[in-house]
Parts: sequence; C-alpha cells; structure tokens
Amino acid sequence: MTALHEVPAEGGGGDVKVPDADGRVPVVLLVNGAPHRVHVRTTEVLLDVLREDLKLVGARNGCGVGMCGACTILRDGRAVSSCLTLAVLCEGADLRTIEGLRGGGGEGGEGGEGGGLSRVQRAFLEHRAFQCSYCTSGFILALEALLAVDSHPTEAAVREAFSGHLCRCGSYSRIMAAARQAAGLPSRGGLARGAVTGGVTGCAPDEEPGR
Amino acid sequence: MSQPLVFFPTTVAEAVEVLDRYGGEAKVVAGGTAVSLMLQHRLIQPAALVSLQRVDGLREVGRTEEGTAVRLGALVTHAEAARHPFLRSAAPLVADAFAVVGNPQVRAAATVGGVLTEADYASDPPAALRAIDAVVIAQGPAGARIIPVYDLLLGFYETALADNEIVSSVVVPLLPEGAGSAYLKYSSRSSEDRPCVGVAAVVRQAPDGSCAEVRVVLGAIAAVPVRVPELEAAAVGRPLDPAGLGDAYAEAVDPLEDVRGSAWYRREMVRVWVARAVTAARHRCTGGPQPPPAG
Amino acid sequence: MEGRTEDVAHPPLLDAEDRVTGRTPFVVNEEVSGMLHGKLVRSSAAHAHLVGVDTGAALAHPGVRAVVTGALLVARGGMELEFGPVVRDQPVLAYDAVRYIGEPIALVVASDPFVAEEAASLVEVTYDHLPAVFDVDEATAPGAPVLFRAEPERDPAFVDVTLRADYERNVCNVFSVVRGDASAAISSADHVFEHVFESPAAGAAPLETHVVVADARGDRVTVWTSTQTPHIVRRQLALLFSLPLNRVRVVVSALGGGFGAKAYAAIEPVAAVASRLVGAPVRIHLARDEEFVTSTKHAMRVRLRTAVTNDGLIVARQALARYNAGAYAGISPRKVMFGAYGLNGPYHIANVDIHVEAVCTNTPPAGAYRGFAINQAAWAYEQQMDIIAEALGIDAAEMRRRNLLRDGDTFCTGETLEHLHFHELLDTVTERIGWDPDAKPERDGDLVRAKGISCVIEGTITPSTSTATVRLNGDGSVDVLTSSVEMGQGMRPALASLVARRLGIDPGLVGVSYVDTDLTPYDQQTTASRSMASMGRASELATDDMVEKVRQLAAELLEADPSDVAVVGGHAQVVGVPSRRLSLAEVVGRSRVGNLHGEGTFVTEGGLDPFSGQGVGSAHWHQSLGAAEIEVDIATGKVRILRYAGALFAGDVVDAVGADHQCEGCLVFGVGNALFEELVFDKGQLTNASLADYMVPSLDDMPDAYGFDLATDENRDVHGLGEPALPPVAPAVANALYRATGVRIHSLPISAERVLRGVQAERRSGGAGGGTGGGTGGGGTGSRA
Ligand SMILES: Cc1cc2nc3c(=O)[nH]c(=O)nc-3n(C[C@H](O)[C@H](O)[C@H](O)COP(=O)(O)OP(=O)(O)OC[C@H]3O[C@@H](n4cnc5c(N)ncnc54)[C@H](O)[C@@H]3O)c2cc1C
Ligand code: FES
Ligand code: FES
Repeated sequence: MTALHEVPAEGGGGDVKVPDADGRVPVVLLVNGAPHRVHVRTTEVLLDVLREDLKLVGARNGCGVGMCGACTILRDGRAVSSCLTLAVLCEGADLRTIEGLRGGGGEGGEGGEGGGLSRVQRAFLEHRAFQCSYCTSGFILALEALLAVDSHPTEAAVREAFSGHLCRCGSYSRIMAAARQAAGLPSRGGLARGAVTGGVTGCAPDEEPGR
Repeated sequence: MSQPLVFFPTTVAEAVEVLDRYGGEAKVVAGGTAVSLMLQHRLIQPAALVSLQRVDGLREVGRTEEGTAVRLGALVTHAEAARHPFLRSAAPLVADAFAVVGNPQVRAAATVGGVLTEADYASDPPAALRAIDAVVIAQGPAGARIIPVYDLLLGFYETALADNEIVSSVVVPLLPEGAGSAYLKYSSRSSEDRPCVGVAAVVRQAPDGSCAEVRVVLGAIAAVPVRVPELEAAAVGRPLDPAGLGDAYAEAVDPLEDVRGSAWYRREMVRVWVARAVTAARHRCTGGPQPPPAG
Repeated sequence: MEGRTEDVAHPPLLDAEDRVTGRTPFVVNEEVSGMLHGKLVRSSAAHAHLVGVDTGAALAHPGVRAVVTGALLVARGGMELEFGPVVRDQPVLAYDAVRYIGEPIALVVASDPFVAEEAASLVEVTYDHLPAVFDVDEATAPGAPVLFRAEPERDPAFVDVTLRADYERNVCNVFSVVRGDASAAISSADHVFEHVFESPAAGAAPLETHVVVADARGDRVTVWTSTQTPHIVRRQLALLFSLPLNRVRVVVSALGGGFGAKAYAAIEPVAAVASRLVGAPVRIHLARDEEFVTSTKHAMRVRLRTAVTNDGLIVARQALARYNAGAYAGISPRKVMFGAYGLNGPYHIANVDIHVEAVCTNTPPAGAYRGFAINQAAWAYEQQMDIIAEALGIDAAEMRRRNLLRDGDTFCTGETLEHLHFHELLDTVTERIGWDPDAKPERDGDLVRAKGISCVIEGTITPSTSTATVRLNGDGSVDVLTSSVEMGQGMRPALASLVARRLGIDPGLVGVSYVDTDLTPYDQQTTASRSMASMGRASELATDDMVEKVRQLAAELLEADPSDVAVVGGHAQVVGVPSRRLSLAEVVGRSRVGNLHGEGTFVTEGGLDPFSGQGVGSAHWHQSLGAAEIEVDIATGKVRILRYAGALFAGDVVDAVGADHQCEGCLVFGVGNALFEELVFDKGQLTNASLADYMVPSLDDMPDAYGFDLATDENRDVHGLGEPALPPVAPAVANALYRATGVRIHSLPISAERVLRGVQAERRSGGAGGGTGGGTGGGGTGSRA
C-alpha cells in the first residue's frame, strides 16, 4: 500500500509480479494444451479469466465459494474449483476445461455417434444426465479426474467424487447412471422409476420396492 | 485499492524476508482456497501476496529423525494427507479429519499449513491435531520455533504466528502404542456442510480394561478447539464410560451459536458425539480393522 | 434406485451434445459489443427514508462511467419510476424510501465488473430509519409500520387479478374461497381440529443467477435476459419507457435453472434505464448473495381448522393464511388465489371458508417459486390429516381414502372435477413404500425408521394463452418458433418431438427457437408447469394449420382434391394412392412459396371470483402423492430420507425422460425444503446468503432409492410436471417423523435441532405419542374455537 513497497528490492523474495497501472500482471496459462498469455489482476480467480479472457465458458460460476462445483476444471489432472484458484498462481500448471476434452486426445474421437466426445461425455449424453446442464461440466470433469487415477472405481468412490457438485435441477439419478456406465459399474434398478404406460404403472418385477 | 504484488520465493528464508519487509501488509498464500475468498469479498487488501508454491521442501511427508512423529510439510494437501499410508497408520484420526474436509476440489488444493493458520472455528483438522498434541514448526527471521497447535490457535481467525513467520511443517506424534483414535464430524444439515461439532478422541486402555488415557478435543463449538484436561485426568483409572464422558463434556463447554446450531443444540451434540467418538476410539484400541471415517 | 439403462435409446436430442461439451448458450455467456458492467448498491436499512446518496467518490474512481441513482431518474423524468407485474410499486431504484435490506439504491456502471464492484463500495448512503416489520401477523396488526400509504398504479395487462388490497394493514391482496356454511358445520361437528403451521422463506437458488444485458440506445430497448416471462418483461419495459411493444425486444437463450425465481422483471428495468442514461449496453450479473434477496419463496403462516365426523369424513374447513410478500407485491396478488383453493387440499369438503392474505413486510420480495403457494398449504393440511386420523384411530391412508376427491365431486371452487385418479395413486404409493397401517417404528440403537404419506392437488395458471408458429422449410425441415423459455425442463426437445410426432417425421428434422420477441410469438409465461400443456398444444395446432396449407398446395401439385390429400410420414399423398405423393420439401419447392407457416393459439378460459372463490380454477388439476420412509437419529434429531415414492397423474406424456427429470427436480426441492432450506433473517438482514451457509441438497442428501409412477392417459391433455411432485415431500417426511418419534414439527424446515427438541420434550412428557407434546408450538387437537 505504501509507496515503499511498490518496487521491491532487487532480487529479494524470488520472482515477483508487479501489477501495472491497471492492476494487472502478465501470466502465461497452459490451458487445454495451449499456452495463453493473459493480463490478470493479481486477485482475480481463474474462473473469471477462463470465461472473460479466454472465452472458455464451459466452466461456470454457481456459488463462488467452492460449494457447487460448476466451475470445476482439471489442474494437473485433479479436479479443483476455479472460483477458489488465483489465476496468477496457475503458471506452469496443466489446466484443462470441458472444452479441452473434446477431440483433445485421450478418449476423444473413439468414434461412434458422439465422435470427439470422451467416454464420460458420451455416457452423460446417452443417459441425458442433465436438465439445464449448468452443472454438467463440473460433474463430467470430476468423473474424468477420478477415472484418470482409478479406472475401476467403486460406486462409493464415484459418489465421493461428486461431493462438492450440486445439481439444483435434480438430475442426480441420471448422473449416477451415466457415471456407472462410464466407470463400468453395474446399473441399478429404480424404486418405481416412472415407467410410463397407460394408467398407473405397476411395479416391474425386477424393481423390488424396499431393500 | 491497488492490486497486490505477488512474490514467488523459492526458499523459506526468502519468503520470510518478504514478509518481514512488508510488516503485516503481506499475505501468505498456500492452497489459496481461503485467501481467494477473502480477496474476492475484500475482507483483506494486502499489499503483497507471498505464494509458497515454489518453495522447496514444503511438500514432504515422512517420519521425523527420531521416528516418533510424522512430519507433514505445510504444502501437503488435504487429499495427500488423507490417503497417505504412513499417516493413516500412525495417526488415523488426523488422516480421517483431513478426509472429511469440504469436498474433493477443496481437498485437492487446501493445505495442512493453510487449514491451521486460517484458524476458522468451523474446521476439522485442528481438533484432531490438537488431540494428538501436534506441533507446528514456524520459521521467522530469527529461525525456527516450535509452537504446539494448542498455542498456535488463539481465537477466531487469530494465530500466534508473527507477521513475518510461516509454518513450514506440522509434526504429528504417533498414536501411543495400543491406543485407539477417532475423528467424527457431525454436519447438522447437508452432507456438504462444515461441521456443527467435530470430536477427536484418543483412548488407551490398561490391561485391566480401565482407562489408561483419554483425550477429547471438540471442534467447531468455540473460537478454538476445546480440550478439558481435568475431565481427561478424572477419567483415568476408571472403567471407560463414553456416555458419562459425553455428559461431563456437555456440562463443561460453553458453545457458540451459528446457522448450524444454537448453543443449546451444540451442547447436546457434544454429549452425543463425545460418547460416539470415545466409543469408536475404544473399538480401534484392539488393533482390529479400522472402520471408515464416519460423519 | 436411479436411472434405468433402458432409457438410453432416445431420438437424438436437440442440443444434447452442447450440454455435455459446455457449449449451451446460457444468458450468462451473452456479450454485446461495447457493453459496460453495472453493480448495484443496496440498502443496509430495512425501512428508511433515503436522505442522501453520495456518489462522488464512486464517480471519481477510474473506470467508472456513471452512477445511476433514483434521484437521477426522478430528475430526468420521462420514464416510469416503478414496475411490477400486477401493481407498479417496486422502484427501479429506490428514490424516497427503502423497504428491505438489499433493495437497489444505485447502479455503478463501469468498464469492467471488478471496477464497478470496487466503486459500488464507495457510494455513501444516508438513511433516516423508520420502524420496520418482518412478520405477517405483526404487519397486519393495528399500529404496525405501513409500507405503502396509497394504492400503487396497476399494470393494465393483469386484469384477471382483482385487487382487494388493504394498504393500511399492509395487505396487497386477499382471496377468499367460501362454499357452504363452514361455521355452522363446525359448531355441529363431532370433532374440530385447529393448528398453526409455518413455512419460512427459501431461495430457489438456480445455479445461474439473474443476468441481463440491456441496450436501450436510440428508440428501442433490447434486453438479453434470464427471464422465464419474456413477454411480460417486454410489456413491463414498454410501460416503463412508454414504448409500443414492438420497440422492446426480449431475447432469452438457455437458462441455468429458473424454478420461478426468474419470473417477471427483476433487474431488467434498472439495466435498461441505465443503458438509456449512459448510452451504452449495460450488463448486470447478480452475485449469489444478491440472488437470494431478489426473489424468495413466500414465508407463510396458516391457522387451519378442520371439522370431521366420527368416521373421519371432513365436513368443514376454515383457514386464515398469510403469505409474506416481502416489500413489494410482485406476483403475490395472484398467489393468494392459488393458496386459497390450495388449502382445501384434494378432499371433498362441503363447507369451506378460506381467506388468504398477501402481506407486505420489510423483507426481500417474494415471488414465484416451484410449487407456487401449494407447498406451504400442503405442509399444513397434510400434517393435520395425520393428526386427525390418529386422534380418531383411523389409519392415515384410510383417512385419505375416505376423503379424497372422486370423479363428479364438486371442488371448493364449485367446479365439478373429472379425470381424478387420487385413489389409484394412493394405492400406488402405499404399495411402493410398503405401507402397513399397524407398523410400529423400527428401531436400531438411536436410529428409528418409519413411513409417512401425503396427497396434494394443484392447479395450473388459468386463464392462459400460448401461441406458436411452425415453419416448414424448403428442405422439409421444420422450425418451431416459440416464446417458451428453455430453463432445463427440456421444453425444446419435447416440442420438437411433439411436432415431429404429429407430422410423422424424424424429430431430428425439427428445430425449436430460443426466445426473441421480435420473432417468436406470444406466450404468457414459462411458469406454473404450463409450458408443455399450453405451448405443446399451441404447437400442435400450429402444425395442423401448416398441414392444412401443405394439403392445399399438394392438392394442386398432385391434381387432386384437397380433401383427398393427407400428410403422413413426412409426405403429402393422395389417400389410397401411395404412389401419388410428394415429400414435404417437394411441396414447398415446387409450389415456390419459399416456406410455409402455421399458426396455433391455445387459450384456456376460466378464473375465480375473488370474494367467493367460485368459478373455474384450473384448466386441469395436478394430482400428486408422495410416500417417504425416513430414518431419524433420535440422539441428534437428524432425519435422513431412505426411500421416496411419488405418484402423479400426468395426462399425456410427451417426453418420458423429461417427465422423470422434472419429478426428480421436485424431489430435490422437496428434500431441501423439508430438511434444511431456510432463509434466516436477523431484523431483516439475511444471514445465510451464500451456498456455504444456505444448503441445497447434494447427491448424498437424496434418498437412497426413489421413483415416480405416472398415471397417464393419452386422451387427456399434457399435464406439466414442473411442480406437482414437490408439495407432498415435506409433509410426507413430517408425517413419517411423527410415526417414528411422536414429534410433530409445525414449522419448516424439519431441522435436526427442532427434531431433537421435540424428542426431548416427548421423552419428558412420557412419550405418550400424542403428538402435541413435541414439535414447535402452534396447535392442538380438539375444538379451541
Ligand atoms: C467449500 C469449502 C468447504 C470447506 N469445508 C471445510 C470443512 O468441512 N472442514 C474444514 O476443516 N475446513 C473446511 N474448509 C476450509 C478449508 O479447509 C480451508 O479453506 C483450507 O484448509 C485452507 O487451506 P489453503 O492451503 O487453501 O490456505 P490458504 O487459503 O492459502 O491460506 C489460508 C490462511 O492461512 C495462511 N497460511 C497458509 N499457509 C500458511 C503457512 N504455511 N504459513 C503461514 N500462513 C499460512 C494464509 O495467509 C491465510 O491466512 C472448506 C473450505 C471451502 C472453500
Ligand atoms: S462456482 Fe466454484 S464451486 Fe461454485
Ligand atoms: S442440470 Fe441444472 S443444475 Fe444440474
């Protein structure tokens, strides 16, 4: 705050980034495999930089406090909340957004209908595991991060990976169904999951009410 | 309202030097999960941010030279601490406490040093670290000093660290031979919530089955984790009575009130969760299989 | 539990790939070149005269382009100062008084949102504080502070709402349903039960908060906005600027959820006014804490008196309910009607006397919210049903069976109801949950399990109007032009499949527009679960209209009589001569018409007299039941919902997966409302305005198993499913809790703390299980009139 601090002493304290008159510093971010040079405020979170500077709008602000998961991205392969990540501290990190999954190597381009989609994306698509889909990128990336370290996760591990992800529209059962498919877990029957026919549906034989 | 400078020291000494230079106007950033929120909400307006991410040697987990403790580097993340095999066996309640913090996104970024120095009352790891008598190594211009977690946490968001000190590591003593431990987090609302009450318990039984040692630390009910030495002393030599301990702690505490529960409710939860945590810790005394962290 | 893999085979879904690749065009992504960013300065006083708003420091801040205040708008003139869907009482920016904490006072406009936010903190407001009132009963009591002295101007378009306001008592509307002679029936009844139940304010909390970009330069106003009611917003802006409707353009792409909170103008007026003043497009994107004070679920308190025979037949119901409208009327004047007939419940009651008031207080404005007024009503009457059943020694399911409405019964509105399925639905949910009238709670240590049920009736907005245009392009593809808003309910894919089904073509050939009021025809609103019913029907009619034109043209081309031409499977053909046919593309191409339009208008008639509640309440009636099995930890009071079974009458179902989604969405709201969602105020100050402090259900908070049975009837119209599955959830959980513990919770949410207080009180009173010992006050059995 005082003028004394504006210009740091030579060499002291390692590297330093000094904001310009506009309060910004240059930062090179490696996003989806490509370096991007951006000028960010030193207090700016990565989410805002991705959306506003890089126009990567698949990450979204739902809460701004790390509770909803809509802003999730992969940082060095791990799912993190970009709303809690200072952009200036991301130099050197491998950042990946939902946009980076598409055709971006890995499982992309495996063919089939959803060519260019990852296995997880395809499962979400096939199960229609979304309503408004504001939360969807976050759920998909959370599962991608899990599958990258554990290709055969348990159902409990999948559920744990989805903690910190809210779907206000309520697509949880289909999200889980998609996740089970992508993770190779057996699917589960529903409690009277509205088979729609004429009249009140009966209980399908394989869907025992009660557990 | 100018933007802070950002320093990337590569050694502890460099970091300390910057902090010293700024005399309280600089803010250390580790995982940044708390600092980013403070900045967004303008709760702090530091002149400089001092990132620890390039500082060498703050990410190690290992046995101390004497072999009686685990050293967790300040930058070890919650996720790393939670699943570290050595920590899991040496001090399972600490690993459990890290495992139940927030969500995976938070745990992937938040650090051991950060959660202690943030000194938020509604936290899990501090209670567990306090129960196992962990200490932090603080480094300042004059060198290192050892601060027990008990002395580190002074009040709401307030620690004993000087402006020009950083935590370089946390030293977690091994659980005493034969002892069992548990950390139980109770969330009164959503499973995603911070704790309403957290209880860390360590129990050791004498060969005759009486209580040789009990340690109970209560998190999230007061500005800092609460430990009541008199009650611990009084329990020794008697048959372990989890319910009785629950009642005793409920009487002894003076809980705060927030959106997760009134003072009355927290007192009742102390009663319940002390009993449950002591019971869980006793179960683990026998060296049987460790139940998963409960919550 | 959860999704069935069999569901994976669907027609290719409109936009589905965008949804998994992050490309969905949410309004929050909207950018307009040259746009500036606005940040609202909000009141920190609950009720005060505005003495001064000092904008000097903010204006001097580098990057700030303007600071718009109410005083500036007054001085400039030429624009209306207030807006509101029924009465225009809400200031665009406060100019003489503020009436709730969080009320917009000024808009700082800057080149960058960060700068705007920084500068907003520099605006200094001076208040002359006035007494404030937060509770509906206190606000209507003599001597309470009065929020409005005079009746605000009406919005001429909302003529179907008759106002019975009493501003001296802070009442912005009253609605009564009176039928038979309730007092007489009560005084001669075998038993009378009276209780008070309460619901708190809650947040809809769509993950995408309100966002708007407004461009009001020149002689037009354009807004790109996250609204569920584009045509109402268009009209509200037209009124504000005194413009004809065609000078106001409202563009709405995809919404990240709405749930009612995005109905009616909210931040569009201030953005548009600022744009006009500044001469640039202005964007406002609410932060989460602002979202919470922009539109809430109504808090409500009701005193409910129900008289029954010894056999448990309901003979009369009296109710006085007060919905907390917050500081401005908003849609509350209409909500009281839903609340009034809603409080009758799905029961045949000959004598009804229900009064519902919407009361203004110094709290944030309450608005539309999933379940529109019915959640609060069902919370009360469905718990009282269980209380009565227990007192009479009748099984809770049997009690309902005896009273549920049947075909041919007269509802409290005087309508004779048909196509009712309550009894089958009751059988379904009781079977699903495994209802046993004699079941004792199951206990395992501190964990106790039990089950509860509840039944709800809900209307849809009536009268209502939807119009659609269907356009056949030269290549045979079809566009549906609609002003229904896609907010995640899958309205666009559903309309596509509806139209495709009618034309016999692949749904992949049908596109559905986003909303642009310059192009898309009138639709009343996307609320009250009405879109599929109303817009679906309009689209079908438009398709028929277009088909008619196709037949005319094809007849000429095929040299046949139009009456001999049919459109089947994407072709126009001479009936009985399959070889004489043309594809739809050929019809357009050869007749050189460019394209073909069909228009469809669907209007429902009805309405109720506000003094008696008699008339036509709803074009069709939503019938919804729920059954919950819960587990309560009696040491902590924490409730977990283990299983939930819902059953609804759905009419015709166009999109089974979408229907399923809607029901599960309702369950998320139901679970949250039941267990922990509550806006907590301290003297008007919201204390939990963040998703770290206001909890919404996560995956782990959902029941372990759940599902919904839909009773369908292809010959009935489509019943929207956006809301009906929600209201039964909380009372079913509360009823289960009572069966588990003897604790009756009168005030939502069923928080662990409330439950524990009840359990301890119950224990002290000897646990007789009477249900009146525990709980949180507010009621008793027997006549207390
Ligand atoms: C969504 C969410 C949910 C959460 N839920 C829980 C929960 O359930 N239980 C719980 O216990 N906690 C919870 N937390 C808190 C979380 O544990 C803390 O945010 C985190 O531990 C802080 O660590 P950090 O490394 O990110 O710290 P930072 O944000 O980097 O720093 C935090 C503070 O510590 C200081 N600091 C950091 N490292 C050092 C150091 N080495 N030396 C000196 N000072 C230092 C900083 O200056 C700052 O004051 C939650 C947080 C979020 C965002
Ligand atoms: S916006 Fe980052 S977690 Fe919600
Ligand atoms: S689909 Fe809307 S929030 Fe998940």
